Amino acid sequence: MYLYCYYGPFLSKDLIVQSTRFREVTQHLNCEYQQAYDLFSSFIELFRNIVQHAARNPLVKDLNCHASSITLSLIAENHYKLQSQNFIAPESEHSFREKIATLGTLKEAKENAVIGLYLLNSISKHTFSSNLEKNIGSPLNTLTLTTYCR
Amino acid sequence: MNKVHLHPSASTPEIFLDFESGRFFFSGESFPQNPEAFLDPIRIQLLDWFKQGPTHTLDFQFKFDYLDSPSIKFVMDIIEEIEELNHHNKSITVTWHYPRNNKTLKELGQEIASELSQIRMAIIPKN
Repeated sequence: MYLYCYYGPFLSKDLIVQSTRFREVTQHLNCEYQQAYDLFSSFIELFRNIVQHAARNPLVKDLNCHASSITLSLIAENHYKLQSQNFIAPESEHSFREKIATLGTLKEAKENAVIGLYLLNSISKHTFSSNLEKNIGSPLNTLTLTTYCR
Repeated sequence: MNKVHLHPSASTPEIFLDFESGRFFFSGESFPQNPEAFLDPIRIQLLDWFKQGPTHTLDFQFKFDYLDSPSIKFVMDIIEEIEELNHHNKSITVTWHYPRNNKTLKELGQEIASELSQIRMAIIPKN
């Protein structure tokens, strides 16, 4: 069951409005403080990842056509799934895979500029996953990040 | 530049830097919409001051209720520099306060502290 869906725009200035909206949603869930905190933290990191790394589809001229998204869904009692999707340039694919591979310690994450991914992985108790898909007819691939919180 | 006091906003923490007394205080939630624009001036002010070689006792209090990834990097950068200062035999205290029921912030403090070799960072719960 979807609890929250956001399809952009993903600009820095939208972060405050959307984080407030997201927090309102979690306040109405049957979440304990820690779970609400972790959901909020995961949301912020997914949002920041899109702001920093999402590629704009050059075939789409309409700037209001947003191709990125974040969704929060309830998959079982007190068990939530947060997922983001965005386009990523094929040339970024290799560096992204390298980044995912460097989620060792917090210090290593800092050195490799992947603290956000490290947090997502740590909060979801290492169930954080990433998936890159090729899009037929599009020069860009789609990146899906999924994290679970219970 | 004796004192800097930034009031908290919906996404930025309260920051109090008292260069005269050597007391530094960070408190609240930190997820600035433009992290570089907000955090870099603070980082630069602190690091410039560190380079001048402060001579008195220094006290750093981190009392965050929420930190995003750019803010964590900011804190780690500052603490690394504090550790460098300690090579010069300053009397420095660093305290990480976390909300009592927040395991994530507690573990974050423990992880940052585990990387320190020159100084000890106290980690204590707050109510």
